[in-house]
Amino acid sequence: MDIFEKLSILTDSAKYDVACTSSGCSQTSSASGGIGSKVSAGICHSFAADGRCISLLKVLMTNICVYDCKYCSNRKSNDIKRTIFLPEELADLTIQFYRRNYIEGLFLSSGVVKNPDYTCELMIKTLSILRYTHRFNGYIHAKAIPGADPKLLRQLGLLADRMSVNIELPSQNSLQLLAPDKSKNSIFTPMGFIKENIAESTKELTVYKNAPRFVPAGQSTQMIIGATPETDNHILRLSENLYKKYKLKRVFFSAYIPVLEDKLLPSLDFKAPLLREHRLYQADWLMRFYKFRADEILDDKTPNFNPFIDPKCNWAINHPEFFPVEINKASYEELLRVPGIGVRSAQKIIAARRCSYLDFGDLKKLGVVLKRAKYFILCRGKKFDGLIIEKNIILQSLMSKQELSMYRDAFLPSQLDLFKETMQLPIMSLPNVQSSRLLSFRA
Amino acid sequence: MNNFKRQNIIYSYDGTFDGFLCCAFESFLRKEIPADIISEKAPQPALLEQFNIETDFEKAGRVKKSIREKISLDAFFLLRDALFTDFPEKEMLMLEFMRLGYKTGSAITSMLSNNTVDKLIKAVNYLHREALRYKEFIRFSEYDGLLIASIKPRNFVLPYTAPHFAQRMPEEKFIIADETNKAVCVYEKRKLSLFDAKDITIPKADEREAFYRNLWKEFYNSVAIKERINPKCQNNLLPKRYRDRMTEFL
Ligand code: SF4
Repeated sequence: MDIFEKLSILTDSAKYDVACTSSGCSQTSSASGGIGSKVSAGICHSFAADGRCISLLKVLMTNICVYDCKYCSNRKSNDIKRTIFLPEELADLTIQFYRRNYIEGLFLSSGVVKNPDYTCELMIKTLSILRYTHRFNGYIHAKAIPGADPKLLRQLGLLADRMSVNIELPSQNSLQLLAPDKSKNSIFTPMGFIKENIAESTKELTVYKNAPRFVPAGQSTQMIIGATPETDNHILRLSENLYKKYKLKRVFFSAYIPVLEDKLLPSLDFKAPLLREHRLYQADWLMRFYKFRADEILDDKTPNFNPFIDPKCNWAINHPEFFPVEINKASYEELLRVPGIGVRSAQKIIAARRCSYLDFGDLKKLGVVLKRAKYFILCRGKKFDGLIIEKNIILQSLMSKQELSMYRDAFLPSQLDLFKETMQLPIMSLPNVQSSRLLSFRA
Repeated sequence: MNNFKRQNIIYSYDGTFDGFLCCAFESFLRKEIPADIISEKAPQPALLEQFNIETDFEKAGRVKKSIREKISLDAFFLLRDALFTDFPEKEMLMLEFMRLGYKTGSAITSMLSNNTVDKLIKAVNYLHREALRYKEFIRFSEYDGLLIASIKPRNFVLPYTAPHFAQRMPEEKFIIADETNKAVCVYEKRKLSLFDAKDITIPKADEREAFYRNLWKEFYNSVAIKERINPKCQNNLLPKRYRDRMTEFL
C-alpha cells in the first residue's frame, strides 16, 4: 500500500480525537540544536472544512485492533481495510510537515495490534526516532494504550509532551455495554499512573534541574457524548471530578456520530448532538476560567442545558439578586459573571478604572458587548440610557442569531406568546418540546 | 505642554523609528504640531510646505531615553511597534500619544478609555494578531534544502514573525518574502537579516516538494468530519485572504 493510502486511512480513523496544543509550557530549540519548539498558547495551523483547528498530524499508528468496541469503526468485527505505519515512515512525515509549517507536532494514537505492550512499543519506537534521530523538540501528544505495562507507559510519557487516556463513555454501565474489552480499571489505572508520574517528575525537577520530564504538558481525556443516556449534569460533574482527582489539563467531549449499525447504539440517522457538545464546552470554559462550580451551572432539577441560551446567560437571568453590578467597583469575579464581559474585557476594566471612572461609552472600547451587558451593569450608579427592562427583550438580546431562529423554528407562531409568559424564570422549560431540530440535541 | 501650535507644514522622514523620533524631537523643540508626517518610503504629492528631517541618531537616542524615563518602557515599545502598523497617519497618532504621555507619565498605557491610547493600542494589537496569524498560516516550500515562503500582510509583520521560525528551526536556511512591503527576511548560519526587494519570484515546486504537498492535502481532506462540515465557522477562523498561499487550498 502506498503512503498516500496509508495516510488517508490512518487519518480517517483518528479524526474523532480532539487535539489541542495549548499546553502552558514553552520550549525553544536554539540552545540544543535540532528542530522544533513549543509555544505555550498553542498554534493552530489550519482549519478543516468542519471548522476544527488543525495543529497536529493526528494519525493512528495502525487501525488493526484486537478489541471490539461497539462505537468504533476499527473494531475487529468490522470489515475494513487495515494498515500500519512503519515508525521511520511516520517520523519522516512528521518532520517534513513540520519544516513546511503545516503542523505543530504529532498526535499519535493506535488500535491495539497483537497486544497492548506490542502497540506501545511501536509508538515508543516512533517517538524515539523523532526525539533522538531527528532531534525533534516540537509537540507530541501520545495516547496511552490501556493495559500496557507501566514501564512502557513511563517510557512513552518521557518522550511525549502530553498523554491522554480516553474515558470513552460517561459511565461504567455504558462502558460495559459498548466497550466490553475495556474496564473502568483499565482506564483509571493508567490515568492515575500518569498523574503520579507527573507529580513525581515535578518534585524531582525542583531538586535536579535536568531530571527527565514526564509529560510536561499534562494529561487530558475525552468522552463520547450522546451515544448513551447520561444527562448533561452527570457529564459535567464527572469532568469536574476528573479535573480535581486526576489533575487533568483538559476534558474533551465529542458528539457521537453514528458510523456503525448496532442494536446497542443510536440508529444511523441519529444526528450528532453538536449543540449539546458546544454547551458542554461552554460550561467547561466557565469552570476553568470563570470560577463557576458545576452545581451552579446544572443540578438535579435542571439536569440538561437549555439549547436556546448559553449557560452563562442562563445563570445570569436566574440570579437577578446578583445584579446590577457597578462597573467602577465590582471585583474581578463579579465582572466575570456579567453576560457580555469576558476574561479580557474584565481585566481591561480593572486596569482602565484605575485611571478614570468608566461610563458606557468607554466600555465599548474595552471590548464589552453592551448589547448583552447593559441589562446587568451600572456605571457610576447609573443605568444605561433609555434602557427598557422587559424580560422578553433581555432574553432576545442574550440569544445569538442562531439561537433565536432555532427558537422560532421550534415553536409555532401562536406559541411565540409563550416567550412573554415564560419570562417567569427559569425560562423555557424545554425537554418536552418535540421538534425534529431539537431531537438532535436530546440524544 | 498645551501651548503647541498647529502649523501648515509637513514633516518628511526616512520611515525608520529613529527618523520618526527626530520628527518628534523637532516638534517638541519648535512646540508645533505639523499638518502631517510622511515617510519618504511612501512618497505622496504634498501641497503644503515640506520639512525634510534628517535622521540623527544622537537626537533619536535622547528622545528614546526621555520616553523610557518620563513615560515608561511599555509606552516606548508601543511606539516602536506602532510604526510597523498599517494605521493611516500613524505618525501623527504616535506624536499625539507622546504629548499625552509626557503629561500623564506611566499611567498612559492603562488609559484604555482615552481615544488616542485606544486607537494606538488597537492598531498595535492588530499588528501582533496578524503576526501571529502568519506564524500559523505561513507555508514553506523546500528547494534543495532551502525553505521559502511568501506572504502578503497588511502590517509589517516580518520583524515579529521571522524570529519565531529562526528559533524553531535553528539549523535550517529559510527566506520569507513580504510582497506588500517589498522586503525579504533571510535566515542563514543562525543569523536573520532583512533586505529590500523589488521583484520577488518564487520558483516552481520540484517533484519531491510536490509529493509532500500532496500528502498534506490528503491529510487535510481526510481529517475533516463530513457530518460536521461548517464553512461559516471555517471562514471566521481562517479568513479567505490568507488562503491563496496555503498549500491545502492550492
Ligand atoms: S480499542 Fe480503540 S481502536 Fe480498538 S476498537 Fe476499541 S476504540 Fe477502536
